[in-house]
Amino acid sequence: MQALYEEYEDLGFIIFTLLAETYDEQVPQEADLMEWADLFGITHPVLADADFGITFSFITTGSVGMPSMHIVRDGGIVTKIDIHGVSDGDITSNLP
Amino acid sequence: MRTTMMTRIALGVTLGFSLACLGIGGDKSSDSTDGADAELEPWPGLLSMADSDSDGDGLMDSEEKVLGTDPNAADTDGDGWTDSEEVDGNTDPLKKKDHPYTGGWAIGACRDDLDGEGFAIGDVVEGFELMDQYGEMVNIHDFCDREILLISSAFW
Repeated sequence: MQALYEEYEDLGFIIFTLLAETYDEQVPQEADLMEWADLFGITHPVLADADFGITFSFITTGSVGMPSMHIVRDGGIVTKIDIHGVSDGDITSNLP
Repeated sequence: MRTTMMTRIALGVTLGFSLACLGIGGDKSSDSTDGADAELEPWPGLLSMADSDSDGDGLMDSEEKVLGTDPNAADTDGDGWTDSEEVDGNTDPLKKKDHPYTGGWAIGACRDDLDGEGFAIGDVVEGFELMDQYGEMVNIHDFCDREILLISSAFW
């Protein structure tokens, strides 16, 4: 995903990684988020999604598998919900 | 970039071992019975010949050779971050687009124009604000001029 971000960031693409829980099911703190970013070499925002609040706002039917992905295009328009893999086409077709 | 960190460690260990074999460095106060401590440095120029940091970026030339960076340019890819800052920050010193992030995301000028509707396909996404890895609050509407891929996950 980091590679996708680096490829398309100049065209207006960004990734948010939402982390809901740590290993011991606690809300991630700043240090936890930084640990995750360092572990995977991530340079986009890594955000604490307490109790899956935002994740479950997107997914209202049934259970959710991890990772779950959602695309919001420019203008804030939600275009894809709960996809489990992202292609170049998914990214390029929603660029601003 | 983990590989490059390991490479730095390996280089350091190798150089340290080589110098130890030559009797250079270490604790001068130990095992010295003849008072000839100065003799522990028989070739004072050897260290500078063995390696140096020509561009002053914090990486030895030998390390730069392994990494593929320019030993005579502190910022090989020209992105404003020195090669050692990139190695320490787990980013690629050869890729201009890849550099450490230290907070302060850009804010889209259109953020105040959005009225959130919900989270369904076709909705203008409801605004929300979450803490990032720098302790800053990030508002999704700050990125109203971009395409955003949200990846929901957890540590486990």
